Formats: sequence, C-alpha cells, structure tokens
Amino acid sequence: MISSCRGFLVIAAMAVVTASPCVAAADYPELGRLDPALRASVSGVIAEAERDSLPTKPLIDKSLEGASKGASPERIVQAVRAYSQSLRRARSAVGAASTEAEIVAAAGAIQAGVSEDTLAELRSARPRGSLVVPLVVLADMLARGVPLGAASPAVLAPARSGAKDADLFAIRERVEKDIQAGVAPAAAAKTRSRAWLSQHARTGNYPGKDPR
Amino acid sequence: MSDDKNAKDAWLERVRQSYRETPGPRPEAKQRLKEALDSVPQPGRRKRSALRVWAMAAAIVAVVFAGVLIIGRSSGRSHSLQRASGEASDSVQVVRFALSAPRASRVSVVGDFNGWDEAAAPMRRQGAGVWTISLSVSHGRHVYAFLVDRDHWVSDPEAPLAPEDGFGVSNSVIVVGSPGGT
Repeated sequence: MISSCRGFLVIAAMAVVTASPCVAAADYPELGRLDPALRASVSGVIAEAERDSLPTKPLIDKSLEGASKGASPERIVQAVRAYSQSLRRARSAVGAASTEAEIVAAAGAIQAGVSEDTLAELRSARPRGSLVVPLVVLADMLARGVPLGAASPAVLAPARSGAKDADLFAIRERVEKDIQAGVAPAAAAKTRSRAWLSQHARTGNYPGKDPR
Repeated sequence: MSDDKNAKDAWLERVRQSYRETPGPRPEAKQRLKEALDSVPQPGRRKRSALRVWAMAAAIVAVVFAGVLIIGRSSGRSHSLQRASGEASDSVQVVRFALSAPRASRVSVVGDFNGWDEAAAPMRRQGAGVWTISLSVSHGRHVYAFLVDRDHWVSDPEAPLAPEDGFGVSNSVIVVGSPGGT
C-alpha cells in the first residue's frame, strides 16, 4: 500500500511538472507582430500583472504602441514594466472596486506625477461618479505645463463642488486657450477653476447641490 | 506385546492399501480446481493491478489539474474579449478624427482602439489640407496619435493630452461616451 501511494505521488508530481510549462508560458496573440524575444519578455511582465488581476489590455497596447513608434525592445519592456507598476499603484489609490478605465486613467495620472494621496482625495470628492474625466483633465493640465500644485486644486475643488464631466472639460479647454494665448499655465488653471467656482457660488447652482 | 504390534502393523498396511486404491481426481474436478485457483488474486498480480489503478488516477488528476488551469486562463482571456466585444456591440460611438496637415502626403490615426496598427485607419484628404476619418470607437478612455508621412507622430490639437507615453511622444486622449454617467 505504501509503495502504491509512493508510486501515485511520483507519477502525479511528474504529471504536474510536465503540465506546468503549458500554464506558465503565457502567450498573448495580440503581441504577434513583436519579435519573439521581445514578445517573451513583454509576455512575462503582462502575465505577472494578470496574476495580480491588473488589466492586461493597456499593457498589451503599450507594447504595441512602442513597436509602432520604433522604440527599442529594452525601452518597450521598460515602459510596459513601469506602466504595470503605475497600474498597481493606481488601483491601490482609487480602490480595487474602480472600473478598468478609472484605473488606467489613474495610472496615467501617476505617470504624470500625481500622488496617490491626490487620487484618493479625488475618489472621496467623487465617491459615486467616474474619475475618468477628472483624471484626463488633470493629466492634460500637467502635460501642458501646469504645475502639480496648481493643477490638483484646479480639478479637485470643482469636483468637490459637484462639477460634471462637461464642466471639467470646459475648464480644460479654457485653460488650454489661455496657455496658447500666453497666460502662465499655473495662473490659467487657477483662474479658470476659480471662475467656475465663483460662478456657481454666485448663482447658488452647484451641480452637486441637492435640489430643494 | 509382539502380537499387538503385529496387529497394528497389519491395520496400518490396510489403511495404506486403501489410500493407494483411491481413484485420482477426475479431469472435470481438476479443471474446476484450476479455475478456482486462477480466480484467487495472487500477491504479485494484485500489486501490478494496484499500480495501474494509481497510475491512471494520477494521470487523471494531472489532466484535470492542467485542464482547470488552462481553461481558467483561457476563460479569463475570453471573458476580457467578450467584454470588449460587448462594448463594441452595445456602446460604440462614431468618432470623427481630423488633422490639418496641408503638406502631408499620408496621414493615419493610430491608437489603442486599432491596436496601434498604422495601416488600420488611413485618413482621407479633404479640402484645405484637412485629413479626416470616422471610426467606430467603443466607450471609454482611449489614447491615440496621428502618424504623418509614416514617421512623424503628432498629437491631436483639439484633444486633451495624455501623459508622456514612455517613448518620447505625446499622445492624445479621447473619452467616448460617459464612463460614469457624471
């Protein structure tokens, strides 16, 4: 009996070891146009993210983007790995219950220099609404040269006051136009955000205010 | 005393004689005995049989183990694809992209909605050097850029900028639909 059990364990172990490579070697058909070595490296990073239940499509897209833009394999792997880390931090900051689009947008904001604390503040400012547009607007301001210290309150304050997506997009457009017209980015963000707040304070018509 | 011994020897001899005269087993009886012996499990045989059963059990366990893992992975993947295709069928919006590039001879829009495939969406030149294309894009946040004359990446001047892409080029962002209904 003992020798039979031993035989079972040996055969089972061999079978599991034989079967394991099929599982470990993750393959993503979408990466088909990458060269095999790069594909293997990127697949390893993506498989690791997948094991942590992070969204994989943005990582696949990032590697395809790098290939299209002619980046070196090392740079592509580096970018995918950095993005994977940003996704992990973003999910932790905005909450695991957030949508994939929110986590991806938050990862973009983190890559633009936004802190996890700011993301958490934004989540508390919009506990039920989507964070996608506020994060897109915040990342856009940063990309246009608005310092983080001015961009964060320029989005957070209206969001706390119930600004809708359309309001935030309108603020973004005005900031962009001001910058194109020569206004300093920080001043443009501050001015346009305050203008929105004062307009709604004057009329008492905060979008998030409960109707009476 | 010797009489008693003689009598006993004679009796024993009779017994022996009677045994010698006992007929041997009949062929049918021999056959039955053989069959009965064959049906009794023998130690060596039982061991081989048990080993086979364990080997089969191990193989089944291994196949089930590998199957569960592989199916788990592939179902996760197909779930993602299903979700993506669900978005494509349920919540798709036609988006018109435009770029003014009067000197360009070729412009395409390339982004995560077409797998960053530069050949997927070539734009058409309209009047005044404006290149346009209308694409069905699923709801959500998308990142893209224009590729001018095959080697020059340009962000969309009408759209928000995405954070630096890790490759030294700024992308644009489009939010299709209302991701949170806000």
